[in-house]
Amino acid sequence: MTVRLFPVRHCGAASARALRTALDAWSPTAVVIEAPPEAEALLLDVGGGELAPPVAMLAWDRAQPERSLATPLAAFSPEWVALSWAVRSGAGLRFADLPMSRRLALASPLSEARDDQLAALGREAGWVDPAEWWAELLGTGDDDGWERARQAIRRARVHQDGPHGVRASPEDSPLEARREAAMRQVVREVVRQGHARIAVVVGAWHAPALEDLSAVGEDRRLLTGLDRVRVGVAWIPWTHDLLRVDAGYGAGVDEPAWTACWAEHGEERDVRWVGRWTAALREHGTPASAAGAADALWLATQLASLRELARPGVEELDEAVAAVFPADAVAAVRARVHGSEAMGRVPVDGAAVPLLAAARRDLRRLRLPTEPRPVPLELDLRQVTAVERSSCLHRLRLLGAGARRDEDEVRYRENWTLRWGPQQERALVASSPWGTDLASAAAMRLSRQLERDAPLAVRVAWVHDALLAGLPSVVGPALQRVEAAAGARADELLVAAAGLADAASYGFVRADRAEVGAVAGRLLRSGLAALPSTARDPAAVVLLLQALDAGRRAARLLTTEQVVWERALERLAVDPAVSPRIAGRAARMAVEDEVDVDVFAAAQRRLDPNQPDAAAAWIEGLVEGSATALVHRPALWQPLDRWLHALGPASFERVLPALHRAFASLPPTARDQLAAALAQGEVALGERAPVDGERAAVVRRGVEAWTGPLGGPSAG
Amino acid sequence: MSHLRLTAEEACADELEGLAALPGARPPGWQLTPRAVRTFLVGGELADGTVIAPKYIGDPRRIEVAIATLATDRALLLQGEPGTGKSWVSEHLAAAISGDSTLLVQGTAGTDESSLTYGWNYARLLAEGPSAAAVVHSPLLVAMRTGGIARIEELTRLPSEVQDALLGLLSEKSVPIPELGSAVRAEAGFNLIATSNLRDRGVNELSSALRRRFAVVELPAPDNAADELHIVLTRLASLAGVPVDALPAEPARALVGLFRELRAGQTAQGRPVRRPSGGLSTADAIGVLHQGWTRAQFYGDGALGPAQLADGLVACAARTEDDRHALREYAELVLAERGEAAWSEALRDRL
Repeated sequence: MTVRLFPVRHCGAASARALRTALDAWSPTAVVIEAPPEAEALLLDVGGGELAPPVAMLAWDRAQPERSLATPLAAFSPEWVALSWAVRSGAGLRFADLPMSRRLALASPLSEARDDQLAALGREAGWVDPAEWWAELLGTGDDDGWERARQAIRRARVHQDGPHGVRASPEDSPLEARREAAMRQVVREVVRQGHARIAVVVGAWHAPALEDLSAVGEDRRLLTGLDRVRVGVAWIPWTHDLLRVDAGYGAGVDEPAWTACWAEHGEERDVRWVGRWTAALREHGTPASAAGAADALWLATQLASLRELARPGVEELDEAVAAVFPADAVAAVRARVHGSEAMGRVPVDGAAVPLLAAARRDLRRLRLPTEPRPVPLELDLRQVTAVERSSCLHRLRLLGAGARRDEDEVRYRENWTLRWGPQQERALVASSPWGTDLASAAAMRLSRQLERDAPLAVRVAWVHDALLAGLPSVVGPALQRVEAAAGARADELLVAAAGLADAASYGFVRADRAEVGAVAGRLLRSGLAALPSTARDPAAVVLLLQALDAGRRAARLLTTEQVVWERALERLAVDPAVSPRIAGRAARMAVEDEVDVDVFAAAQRRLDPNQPDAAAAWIEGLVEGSATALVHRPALWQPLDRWLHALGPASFERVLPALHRAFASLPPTARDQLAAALAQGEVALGERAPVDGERAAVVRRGVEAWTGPLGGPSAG
Repeated sequence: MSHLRLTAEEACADELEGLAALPGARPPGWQLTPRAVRTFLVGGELADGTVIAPKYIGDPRRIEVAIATLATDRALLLQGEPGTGKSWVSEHLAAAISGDSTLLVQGTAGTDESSLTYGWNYARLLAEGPSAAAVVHSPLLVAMRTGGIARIEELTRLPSEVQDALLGLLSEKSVPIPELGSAVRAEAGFNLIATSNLRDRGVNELSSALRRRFAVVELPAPDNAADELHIVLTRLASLAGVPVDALPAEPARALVGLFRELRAGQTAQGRPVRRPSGGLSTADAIGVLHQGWTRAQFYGDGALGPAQLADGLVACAARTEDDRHALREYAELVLAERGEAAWSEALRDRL
């Protein structure tokens, strides 16, 4: 029986290559890999065609699925090499680490040992790049190389751990001490099973701690009495981009694409890397000759020697390529060469979380794109499948996974941006307690939201959500929550009514909305009932102006409420207690909607020369944004003209800004229309005072000083 | 007799001597090791305590690419905005690598092919007929024969057909002289450093064939005020022939600040300002400071302040009437409001 330790760098290309060589040469009968033991359940999928790295083994706390830890594996991960080798060759395979059931019970399950320690060691040994250093130590992966690596790391651990012997101290790093104890336990077990040759593949830092397998009792003590939680495990696809981030192994890789190139091509990596660049440049339409590639390699080699590196790394190669080939083309294809968007594949059903599997099925059935980069999608809801796809996307949106709705202008069209990757899958894992398929999970999630106290507008949004996501069971409760919004102001009620009326009129794309329409009608009525009292509050004017628009929209959409709306308008227009701007607006709306209201009488009452401010506000309400009232009711000019003449100079100056505001807001065509009506005498104005020739001449001279001589009769 | 301006190898003779003593492999024809060239450009300290002043302040990685290029088959093209130190870097690279920075061709619209290859001494040509003694070698040919570094300033100002003369020279590394039936062939160590201005883009854009014979290194404008101030003061000290400590740092800092704000088109506080169309490069700032310094020394009481610098700033930043308006706005709105009354007034007086 022989146990051989293989200290590797997680995500280390050189380690992976050397490991493959070593496994082929030594042919172990059992392989132990640093990975969560629970994930052994996932091994059935390895070797099938449906699993392709980069992937991650995700473990989560079933009670709190948002507490999860991913163990990512790329094609160039030594762990992946080891497990595929073992599966292929039929050797025994065990995962050794602190079980996730214990680890996720800890306050912080993240590893305390980092690759930084390895990097620091490398720098001490005079290497800038720890990857290069480890590659140099391992060499081609023969026994000597692995022995050199073991000794280097043992020296470092002895130096750090000192008197404890080579093992993590339970006081300083309790998690690492327990992880190493658990790893030793698994190795002991495998030894007991009587395998002849046992390969143990672990992060380099841990290797020396697994050499001495005595002290069984101490390890058992370390591992007893730990809290535990129930965990679930599943494969999820991972991306190269995410490999940059530290994850379960506490090790990231800066340049995944480069590392992959290294793992695949070994000694030829620099040539192949430059080849990737030239291929991408040619695809981009930039001539990139072999001679240019050779120049870039030469330059990179010179650069490496200037930087005292044994051979060019990815930075030297990239810099050389950028110098040799046109800079803008290089910048344009950089993302393609560094290929950070590569994403792995996992079995659609497999051991995945039920919700996740259901979501993947839905996405596939509805032919929705599942790509890690944002994909825009336009749905025409007049098609039946589009409605189904839209519901699916709304469900995903409610679960916080991957779908973003963009602004859209047309009612029957929805614009979406889809993004599907590990984060989205994790979001679904976190949502897995809500249900086993998208509809039930989204419904449950939304129902839970309904329990919160929220302003009326949010409650209306819940109804929209329920309708759009096709969750009929939630529509009723959401409507109840809308109606239960106590103490809402008139303007809120009207806006909410308009929102629900909108929802009710989705009719032609979604199912029956009668219930929603009924609630919208009730909201509209209570809003209108509350209007007169709110309309007396000068502070609420601006909100109310918007609310009036909303109320009108609701009344039009609902059709059943037209009479109520007209009566409310009439009351606002004639009630003297309503604040003047609102009353003016109500008068105009009455004219526009052809409601039978005596606007002329209202104008006569409102245009009081003794209350210039109130009168000006009324005019502002009447005219602002639309000249309909003055165009359709020319009679209104009379009280307006009379009022204006009756104003003293001081009052006139006071109201001028408000009047200017009102008329300046009209579109140019409306202003022309009014001016033409005035010029042609279509509107009857009151008596005009005769022009004072002397004063007019003064004004004329002043104007002519600016404009040059004016034509027409000279007053004089 | 004292020369108005020393060449890089003269001015830095001590540094170069110290660096030449460093051990290590040199590419064929090089006076220094590539690492020593790097130290010469970006600064450092030798084992014997010789301090090497930095010639280029900025990202050393760019200089490394430039040096590495010169050890390969490709020529080096330094690109950048005006005043980012392209010529300065080019001169010092040549001085460090071949010990001679004077093999220079200045690119202008009137430069002809003979300035790049060879011409004739017509008196001799008439008297003796075509002979080796009658050939006048261009600086490029001299560099080829001696295995040195040649320099071309403002490569894109050369007419396109003259640029084409470089194609054969750079790929064949030899220039035939058919009249003599011979050729000048490059010795090991020969290479070429060209500079070109990003503002001149499109003047006589390099053909793609010629572009392929160069590796391009772009020198950016200094990205922070401290670096730029450092560059300005170091250069001013060498121009004025005084130590850096003797220079008035405060007005220089203020001037660099103004230059950076106007160049960026917004103030340090993020408020937008109109950018004048005139020169606002680091080199321009050095020029303005040098001029102000000289005036203060010879015509004033030696004190350097806004009054001495405003003239130069206006002269270099304002090309058009519009620019003058822009500067006036800047003086009245930004400087006055920020309480920099002296600058505000000095500028307004001159606009």
